[in-house]
Amino acid sequence: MAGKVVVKELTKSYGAVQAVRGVSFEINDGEIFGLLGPNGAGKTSTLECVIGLREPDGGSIEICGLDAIRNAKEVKQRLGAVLQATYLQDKITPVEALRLFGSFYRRTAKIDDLLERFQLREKAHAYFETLSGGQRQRLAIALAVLNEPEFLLLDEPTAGLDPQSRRELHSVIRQMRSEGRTVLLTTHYIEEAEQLCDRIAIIDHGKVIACGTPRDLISKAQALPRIVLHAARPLDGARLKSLACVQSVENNNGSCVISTAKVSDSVIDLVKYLETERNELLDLHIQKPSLEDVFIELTGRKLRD
Amino acid sequence: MNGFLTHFLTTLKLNLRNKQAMIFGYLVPVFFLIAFGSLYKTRPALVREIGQILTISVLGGACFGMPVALVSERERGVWRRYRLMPISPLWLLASTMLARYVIVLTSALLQIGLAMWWYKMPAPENPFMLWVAFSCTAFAFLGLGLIIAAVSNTTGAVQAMGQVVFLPMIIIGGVGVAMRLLPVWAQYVATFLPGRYAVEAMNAGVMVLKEDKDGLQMQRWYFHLGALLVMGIATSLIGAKLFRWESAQRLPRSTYFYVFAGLLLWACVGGAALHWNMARIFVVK
Repeated sequence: MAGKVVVKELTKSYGAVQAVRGVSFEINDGEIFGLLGPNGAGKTSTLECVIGLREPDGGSIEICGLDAIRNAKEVKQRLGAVLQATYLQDKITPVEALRLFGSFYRRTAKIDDLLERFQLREKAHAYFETLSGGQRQRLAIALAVLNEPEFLLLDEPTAGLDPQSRRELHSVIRQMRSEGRTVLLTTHYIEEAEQLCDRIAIIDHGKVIACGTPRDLISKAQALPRIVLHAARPLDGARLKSLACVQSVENNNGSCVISTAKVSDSVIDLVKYLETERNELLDLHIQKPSLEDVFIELTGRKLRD
Repeated sequence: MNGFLTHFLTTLKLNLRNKQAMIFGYLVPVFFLIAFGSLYKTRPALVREIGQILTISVLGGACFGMPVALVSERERGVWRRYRLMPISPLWLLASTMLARYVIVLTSALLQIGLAMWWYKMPAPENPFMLWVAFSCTAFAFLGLGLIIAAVSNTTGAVQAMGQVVFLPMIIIGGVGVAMRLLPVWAQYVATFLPGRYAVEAMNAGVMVLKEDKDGLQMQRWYFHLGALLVMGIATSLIGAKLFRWESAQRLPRSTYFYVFAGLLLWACVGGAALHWNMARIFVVK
């Protein structure tokens, strides 16, 4: 059975710049799917083609079993979207905006319920220009779910939000999944993708370069786990390199970063070494390979470059 | 239909909340009324000028009010958000035009009311004819406003484009200066601009058509209405064709063709008016 969303060989150019070069992915029903990539990777162009803001040069997009280009109007009845920035008229209130946008759909949720759910009741009659960034973003999401969409697209929804608003938004997105909605999310926050997404497609230079669950992707990373430690007195790099399973040692602002093939063996050896040296261990933590490592391995670039 | 009505009502409401829109929509037209009332001391007061005053109000709303509102919303990304909605842009443009029509109509009623109260202008002799002529004028000029909004990327560009349309019509188009006061060459130029048809069609509703020497007064009135309707249809179609959801969207290559076709159509209207003697030329003695 085909997925809720099927994108095949999508291409999009702006003049001489090929922003999307044959992107394909499939999103299953009730899944949170992430498009992860640095700025300019092509994820927003891909998403804008999917929601109908841009006309693709080639490829096909199927949403809820419908050709999204030929049946754009019907598809729009079934999807909701949060753009990178949602601006409304300065003097419109959340209640009026919800009424206005709701009037375009066949089916809508109750406005009172949305105001309650997105904590906008107190600001229901305040002008848009007086809302904070977090409140504006909550209103943008309320507008996106107004038509109770089967498929929700979120383009970097937490960019520029404070940590509390970001956490609130994460819980809203998880709630969408628990309600059985399918979500497509673009982000360049690696932690966000790891925490929220069931599956992730890493996109770079307009192409999908890897796709899978966060765990699958990380398991394919060739990077080794790292032990980061800080001791009372300087450590001897050559001695550390001779410890069990250690592959490399780096000194980084007074901390030592040890790459190891087997964390448990290296830690035991390390503690013994510190004891014999009568050196006090001030801090130690273990870093597992992350999606960022996967990304660097695949592209040779950092995620936020 | 629900989306059309809600967008229309919301647009009206947002205009009423916008101080700048209120000043330009209602206060400036009153200022023009006072200016004309002070300049022209003819009796009965203002009956020969009210068509000019109302045309200036509609022109202001069409060349500046509506396109500034449309382009500023587009610059902010409001129309980009509308693009995600399952509604045709034609409905949104139509409701925007209708909202502006209500604004210029109420502004015109305010001007007529004040003219009757303050300057003792007699009541229009045929309000229905006046309303029909006013509506045709609004349709023609609001269509022009759609084109201005479509081709302008910024509100600054709207001001510049608006002046290109507004000033010639005010100065030599028979709108700011009455046709009978213009030199003959300017009257011929005005025949190729829509302003004079608007003024003459509306004046007919205020004074009731006096018998012209050649007996063509009624035919002229219908011709003026037809000319305004042709212009309204052409400009609205071109405005809708050139419509952009986002400022970043490029205008199609066919833009020049459409603009040229509109100008050509209007040249044909002017030529027809001269050919069939539908636009009177006053000889200055």
